[in-house]
Amino acid sequence: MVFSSLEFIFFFLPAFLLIYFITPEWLRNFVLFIGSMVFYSLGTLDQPEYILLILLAIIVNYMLARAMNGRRRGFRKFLLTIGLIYDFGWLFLFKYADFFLSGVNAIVQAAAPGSSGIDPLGLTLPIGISFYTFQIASYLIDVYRGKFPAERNFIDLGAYISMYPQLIAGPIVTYSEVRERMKKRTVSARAVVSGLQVFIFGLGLKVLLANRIAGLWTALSTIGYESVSTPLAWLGLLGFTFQIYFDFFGYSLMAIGLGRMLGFQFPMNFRHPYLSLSMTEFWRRWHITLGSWFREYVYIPLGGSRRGAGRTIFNLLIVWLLTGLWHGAHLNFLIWGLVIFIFIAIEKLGLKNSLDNHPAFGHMYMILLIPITWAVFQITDLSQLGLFFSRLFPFLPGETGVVFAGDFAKYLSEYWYLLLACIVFCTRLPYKLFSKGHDSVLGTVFLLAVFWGSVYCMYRGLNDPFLYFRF
Amino acid sequence: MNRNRRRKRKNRQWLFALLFAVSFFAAMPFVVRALGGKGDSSAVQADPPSSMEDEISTSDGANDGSSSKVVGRPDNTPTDTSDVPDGEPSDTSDDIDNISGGNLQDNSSASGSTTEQPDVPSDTQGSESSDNSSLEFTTVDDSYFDDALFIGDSRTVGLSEYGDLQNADFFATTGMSVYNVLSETVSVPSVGKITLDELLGSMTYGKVYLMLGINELGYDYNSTVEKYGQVVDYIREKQPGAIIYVEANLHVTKSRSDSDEVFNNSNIDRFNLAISALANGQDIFYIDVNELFDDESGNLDESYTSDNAHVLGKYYATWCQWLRENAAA
Repeated sequence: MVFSSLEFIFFFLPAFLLIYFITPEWLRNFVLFIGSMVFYSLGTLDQPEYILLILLAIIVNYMLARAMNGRRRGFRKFLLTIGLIYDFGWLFLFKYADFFLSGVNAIVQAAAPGSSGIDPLGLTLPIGISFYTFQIASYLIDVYRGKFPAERNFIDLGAYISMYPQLIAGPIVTYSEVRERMKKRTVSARAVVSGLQVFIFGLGLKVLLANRIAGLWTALSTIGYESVSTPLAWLGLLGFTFQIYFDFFGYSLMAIGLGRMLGFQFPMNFRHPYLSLSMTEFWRRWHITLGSWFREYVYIPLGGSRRGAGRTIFNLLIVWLLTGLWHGAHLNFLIWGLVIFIFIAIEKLGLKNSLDNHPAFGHMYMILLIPITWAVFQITDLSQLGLFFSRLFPFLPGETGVVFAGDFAKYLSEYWYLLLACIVFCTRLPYKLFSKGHDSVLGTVFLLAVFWGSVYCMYRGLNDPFLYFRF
Repeated sequence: MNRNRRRKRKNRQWLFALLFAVSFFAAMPFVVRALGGKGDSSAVQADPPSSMEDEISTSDGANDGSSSKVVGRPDNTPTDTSDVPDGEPSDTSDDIDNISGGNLQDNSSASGSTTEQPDVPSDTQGSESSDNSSLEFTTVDDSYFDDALFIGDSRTVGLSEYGDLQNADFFATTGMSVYNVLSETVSVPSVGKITLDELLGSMTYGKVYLMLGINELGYDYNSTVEKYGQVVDYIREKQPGAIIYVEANLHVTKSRSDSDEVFNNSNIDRFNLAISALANGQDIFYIDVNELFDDESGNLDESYTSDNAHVLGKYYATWCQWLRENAAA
């Protein structure tokens, strides 16, 4: 169940909030835990055993962390290793096993042509496993490091790991960020209303911007890259660039709003990433909680930038290959991570300074670079990716099909107003206005309009097969 | 002063909360209805937008109002003196897949004759009437499409944009259906923004290709079939000399078909079968391009599409070639 659905907004959320608020404070974590499990099971109706998986993850890590209490460092390390193998083992099995097998098969094929490979497992990825694995690993590592003592209350830990506002799409919240609130939090009516406002804002970004601009990229795929003109290829890629941002950002905002309604303060996940002047800056502003996770638990432990330039570059390479793989188990995600690594490494060697000192140049550089990296991200089939690049850059060799000469004009006239709105919402202005005026009359009118518009779109998409499925 | 402002702000927050609560509960019944209906296949809409009742005038004077499938005969076609009402090829039901390539006669008989019974299926091919005025499926060159008009939904849009029938006219837009084909204003390349009525009133076409029906699958089946018949009647009346091609709707892929309660191939086939009955083998022909794009189990082949519903741009040329090879002349 996604937040941007009528089921969630009109049934799950009100029912949950009602129970949550009539429950005495000391029992609220229990309500949150149970509510999150209900939320999760609604999303995994086809694989009910996956609920067991997340419950087991909580139990195992709870016990391991508790067992670390007062033990020697060596033993704690042993427990940590077991825990990490357990957590990432499941993630590997579900997310990467097939990718790994296909790699093994390719090597075997190359070594001994004609030999039959291992069949892929074809497992369905449990919803949110990438997110909750990272959260629970951060918890165990932090306990190991002595950042805070192991949580004694199983319900509190369970509520933290499974907390539905951030369970399936982040932000990745570390336990240190919510630990105090896990124990004591007061919810004012003010916070509930302001959380609701943030939620509606995020809902609008997702439903009114992301979902609708998505038609542009869909159109490109429908036509087939070989039949897309170069201007349309760029326009479509721009559309996707907006789509992925408002989709993810909208979802993060909804999570933050929901968290606030429950009395939590989740970290911001996006800070105007498209205004960045460099790739380095971009990744400090895009999916911030993931970047912090890799920084905290991979980059710094590897030595960060304190072991000389060569080692720094190597550490960056590791981080970016892992970041790529985190996003998906395909070769293109590795390439994507590699591309980002290359640019960040170049920037580290001095480019960043000149980019920062020449904002106009920095913006131009990023306006070109961001969509290109998203193309590598989005097109998982490498031959299709090559084909798409030959459309972006027509001097590259590639198959050219029949191209409709008027395609760019057609889609621009269809999407220009959405593109314009997307550009505006990439700047700081709307968010400044929102944080200043969300309680003003104008802000109220705006938010209600966004809510109505979003509900209408969700309603139409559900009830009217002609809005999204038009032939 | 400061406290004053603060209080004011707080009050406004309640304004938002109040208005939100009101809108929330106002929307609730609609949501309940929408979600309640999701389980069954009630994406079906009982009352489609009706704007064409007035616009369609069936030529009931000519064909004694027998049925909507009866299409008024062109007045200007050569007259075959022999009365051959039962010379109809029975392309109405079982053999829809065999239509293309088959021999079809033009029986355009006595114009407006009250004796004709064009809707009666017959097993006899009426070969005695195949004289010099008969049309048969053959391969034509591009000049055939000089006076051709294509009417349709997004699949026809694709044909106009990525196909190579440059000389034909296209009255097509995404989402086009039998319910809005007469009310829509469409930008027709090299003609301009125009309604179908204006277009058919100002031009004379020798061939009119019609591919509609998939957008209508959510609507009531019977009324869609009826409307489709009325659209054909209407085209017949506006373009008495034209061959009308009733085009089978393109299938969707197996994955789409299996997962969609509305847009699936059994619904598409059911509708295609119904409209195939409109063909009379004289001036209305049914053609089914699915033979070109289907896999062996009768679904759109996955390799031709990326969205499970439209063929990729590069395959419209193949489609056009198929149209050249399956033209009644």
